[in-house]
Amino acid sequence: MNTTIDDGTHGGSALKLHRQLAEIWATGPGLQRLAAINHSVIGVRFMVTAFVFFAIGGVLGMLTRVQLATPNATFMDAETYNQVFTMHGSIMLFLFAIPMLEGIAVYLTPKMLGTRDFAFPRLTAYGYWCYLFGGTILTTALVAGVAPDSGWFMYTPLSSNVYTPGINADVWLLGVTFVEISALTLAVEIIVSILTMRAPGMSLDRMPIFGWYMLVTALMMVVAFPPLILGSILLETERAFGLPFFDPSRGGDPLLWQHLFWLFGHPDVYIIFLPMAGLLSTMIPVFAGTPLIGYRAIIVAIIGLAFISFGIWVHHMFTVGIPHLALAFFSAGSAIVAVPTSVQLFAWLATLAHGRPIWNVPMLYIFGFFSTFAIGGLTGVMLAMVPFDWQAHDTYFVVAHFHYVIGGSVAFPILAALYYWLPLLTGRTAVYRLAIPAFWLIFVGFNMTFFLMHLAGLLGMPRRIYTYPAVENWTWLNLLSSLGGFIMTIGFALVVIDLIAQVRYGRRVRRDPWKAATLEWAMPIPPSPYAFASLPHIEVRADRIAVGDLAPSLARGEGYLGFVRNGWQETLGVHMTSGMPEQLIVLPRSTYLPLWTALATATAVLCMLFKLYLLSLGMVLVTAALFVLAGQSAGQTRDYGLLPVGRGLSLPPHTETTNPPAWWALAFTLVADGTLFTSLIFGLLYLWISAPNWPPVGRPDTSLAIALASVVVLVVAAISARGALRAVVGSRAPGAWIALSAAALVAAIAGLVVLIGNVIPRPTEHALGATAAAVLGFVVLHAAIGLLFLLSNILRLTFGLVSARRHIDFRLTRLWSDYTAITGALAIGLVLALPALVDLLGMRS
Amino acid sequence: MKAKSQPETLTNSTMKVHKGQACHLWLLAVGFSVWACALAAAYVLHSVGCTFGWSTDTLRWSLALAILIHLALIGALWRTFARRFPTPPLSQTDSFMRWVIMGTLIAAFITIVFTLGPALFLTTCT
Amino acid sequence: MSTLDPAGSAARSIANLWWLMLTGAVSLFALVMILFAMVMIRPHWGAKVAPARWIVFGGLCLPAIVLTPLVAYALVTGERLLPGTGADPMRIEAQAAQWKWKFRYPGIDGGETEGVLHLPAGKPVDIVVTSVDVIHAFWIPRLGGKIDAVPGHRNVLRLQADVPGHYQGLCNEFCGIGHSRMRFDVIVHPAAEFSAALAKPDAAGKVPQ
Ligand code: HEM
Ligand SMILES: [Cu+2]
Ligand SMILES: [Cu+2]
Repeated sequence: MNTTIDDGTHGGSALKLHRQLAEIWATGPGLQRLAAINHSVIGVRFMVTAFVFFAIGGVLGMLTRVQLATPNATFMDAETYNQVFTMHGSIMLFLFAIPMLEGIAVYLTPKMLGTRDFAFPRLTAYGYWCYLFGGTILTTALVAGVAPDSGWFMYTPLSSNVYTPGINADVWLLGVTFVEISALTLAVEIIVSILTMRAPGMSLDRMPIFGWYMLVTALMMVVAFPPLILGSILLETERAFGLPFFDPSRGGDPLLWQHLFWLFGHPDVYIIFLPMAGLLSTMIPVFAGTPLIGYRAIIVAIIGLAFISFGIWVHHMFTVGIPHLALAFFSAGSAIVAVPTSVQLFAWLATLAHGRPIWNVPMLYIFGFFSTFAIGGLTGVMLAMVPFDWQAHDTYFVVAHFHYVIGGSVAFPILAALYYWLPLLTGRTAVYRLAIPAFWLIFVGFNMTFFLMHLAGLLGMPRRIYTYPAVENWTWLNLLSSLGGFIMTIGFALVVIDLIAQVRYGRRVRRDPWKAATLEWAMPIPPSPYAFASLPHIEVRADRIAVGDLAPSLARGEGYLGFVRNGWQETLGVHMTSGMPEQLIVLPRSTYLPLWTALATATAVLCMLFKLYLLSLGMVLVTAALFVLAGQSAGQTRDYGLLPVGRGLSLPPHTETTNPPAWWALAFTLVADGTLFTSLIFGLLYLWISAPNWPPVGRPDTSLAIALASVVVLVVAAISARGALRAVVGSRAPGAWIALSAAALVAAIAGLVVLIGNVIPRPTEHALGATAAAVLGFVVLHAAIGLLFLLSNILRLTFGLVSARRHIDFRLTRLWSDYTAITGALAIGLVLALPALVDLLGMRS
Repeated sequence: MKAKSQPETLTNSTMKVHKGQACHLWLLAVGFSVWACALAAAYVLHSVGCTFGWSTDTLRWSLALAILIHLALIGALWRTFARRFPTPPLSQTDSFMRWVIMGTLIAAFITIVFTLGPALFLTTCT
Repeated sequence: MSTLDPAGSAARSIANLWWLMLTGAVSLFALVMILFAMVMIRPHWGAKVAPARWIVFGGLCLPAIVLTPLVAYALVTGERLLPGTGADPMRIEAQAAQWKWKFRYPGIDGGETEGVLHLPAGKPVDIVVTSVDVIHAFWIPRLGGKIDAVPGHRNVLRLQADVPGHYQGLCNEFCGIGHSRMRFDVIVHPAAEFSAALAKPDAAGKVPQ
């Protein structure tokens, strides 16, 4: 990297500045597109890919409708049907809904918040590739006829290797976990970016409401995905290595899977819905011509919604035999969760009431949302009532309900948003002639398809049956429902045609065609890769910005960073709450590294799928090495001190601050990791208290000496990590501390491996042994990753990326070691307590 | 909107104000964290009680106690924050944070009563 | 098969709950759609109501008024449907397996039936539901709600059929390729004739001992 600093003088005319910035930020042509990491590029890729998967999922949905249109149909046999509906559900949720919202977040959030990109562009790209490869694995399996076939919630024992011996279930567990890990990385990135990378002056109370929605959504993702990831890992280890976490004959419990799955599954519905509500809260004020009403009330509502949605997962398990009193918690919770939702609904109505709403195409689709969402919400409250659910559970009533909430309330807002933001994306305005008939076809078709399913369910039609006898009076309902499906499909096809027409032949538009007042319109359209030629200073709530005045001034470089320096991709980091600028963030330039890393990860997953476990382990190590490598190129080889950022302000580069985005990223990653750890502990205690065939035959017995020694060395490792940091800050050599820390970690791993080897009962014999081994394995894994952190420290020292001011890498190591020591002590403590827990079981009634 | 305010450099004193505000952020989650804790406590108490055959009264009273403790906790938080934020608040951001934090506390209080209250009346272990 | 054509006490009280909720839901849906239409068509109409009122009345008061009684009513209904209450009812064991149902009638002449469940009319019965392989669910829509058959667990469902007759039951949890066909017949006998009908060697579904 260039070590001289250009002076930060303003870059002259808007055009000159544009050329200079574009040269630095642009993604190269041709094959270099594979190296793209820019948020606009990746965001669009996410959305387009998600649409493709929507189409695939839609075709599968239509296939189920063809099969069910008539009784005793022979279009598909049971085996094919099971694959088709399982893949339909899995694709719609994991490969369409979540990636779609991620794409929207990646594309829009930085622009709305007035910054040039997300905090970790390479991670965005990695997330995209993982999604693409994971999705490809799943669809390939479908084409090959070995797709998952146990339903999208994969209830075990049906999905265990006894009842689904083939590769089908492994495809789901591995493919979906792969996609989930990508979602998790993106969630962390979204949180950190929203919190630390906004336009200067954008305090939390000035953040556009969409920023709040995305922040809450991403935080939910960080806590919601780990239980499912853990569940999938446990189920895959059960299938591959025979550890009986869910096998009731060996002390496991199939209900544990359901708890872990729905602990993810229910919040997932809100994770999908909240960004949609965020889009609506952004569009509705524009069409009403007045700022959003109830900004603060909505924020309280979505915080409440986020929490409550985690406390109602058991409403998917009302029929598994949990006592009524416990069901009441979740029933009442599922009812009260309607309150924050209706707060939002009435805030939108109030906004419309206090403005002068205009009718246009997005508004038409918003109307579609209002009606489907109202119905979906009302049937949701019905299903929350325990006795009614005892009848309606797993019937077509439920299928109708969730298509109204996740189908209607996602599809309509997305289409509205598409018509609203497409001018930004393409610089062209819609042709519109097709959008309106398309709406009515979708709307009528949707209601015809799904409304009748309520009735079919009440008439006793269970879901997931591949055919039904003619004697039931379900036939006409199903026929009409399938017909509606075709009408809806034609509507979607029209939308696609309309979109293509718009992209190719649409009229060019000028800036801000809707007279909106949010920052994403304060840039040339379509947006340049650097988004803003210079960054604004925000002094009002960011949905009341005079876009027309601001945009030209930003383009002329009159805001912050309206110049280029050292070929750096620069943007600003701000204080979380107040939005005051704190650091100059230098982002990495485009690179193939994310692609290679994702390929390595995909190979690891494929090897796992084909039971080449050693090779898989090797590829995991390659992936880890690539991650460590990526970390190295994100440093600076010298201290810069304060650098001018424009408008008379000077800030340190992020490499020289104590809390750069990377620090927060690790902190939130640890939140996710801590959730996984907690879920694992919950799993152990859950099995202890409610699984059949407990206590096991052999009494658990752990070597106290080795256990305590392991805790001690973990603590030593953490202390030496602190020592290393202190040495670096004091400009002393940290080598000895690093060596001590590494030695301690190796000792800990050795001790823990011995403990795992001696777990009683054997991990394959009883779930007690299996969970104990898993808990200890968790610690081994973290100690091993700790070694990677130390490796990174050494590399950084060698490359000269460390100084008394540039010590972030050591702070990260300290955080990780502390976390490892704490979770390690808890885990080992729990394992030591197992004999006592088992003895307690003797007192059961 | 553009370039209106004085450009500012960061001095030590502005840094301090920031430190004070930074801790507000997680306060947004405090109210409902108490609710989450109450739910977890009630659920655990219930399953432990039913597994180990506690008498109906013991179970009922321990549930009631768990609920009360958490409600009291929210009350205490309410008082702390009411004192801690001066009225009128320092800045727009502070008044916003105060409104939202207090809002979540009230909402969490009601949610505890609504979701856990029924447990005081229902059959315990079937 | 219709849950809206109840033939047992549990199904009836749930159907009542449904009709009640349906009425409420239709009114609320109409309310939301009318409000939406009004704010779109008559711009000044809604502006007379202050913003805070919109949110407080619509977003807080309305759901509070609706949800509180609804939850209370549903919980009371649920309590009444619980098994194990009242004077020691008859127990029947239902055992699910891929893809068939077996029923045992402890205390009644060692009978076991496959694919056919015999019930007495007018008497509460507790069905003890278990599974030998994967998860299934026991459901007779016209008599009452369902309960899952989870391997390793014993779940109990309280049912009471009103009058003698023939009904249909089915497996309501996806359990593999035979799921669609995992049905069973339910024959409800007059209470007085129940034991005798079941004891007959040619009773429907009887498994030879
Ligand atoms: C936004 C779009 C949609 C989403 C998110 C979605 C989601 C889902 C999910 C999660 C399931 C459950 C799968 C399972 O039980 O394992 C499902 C089932 C089903 N979906 Fe969709 N769906 C969508 C669109 C459609 C469309 C367009 C159709 C047909 C026209 C359709 C028809 C069905 C049917 C018939 C089932 C029941 C399959 C069964 O349980 O046997 N869905 N859908
Ligand atoms: Cu749910
Ligand atoms: Cu079955």
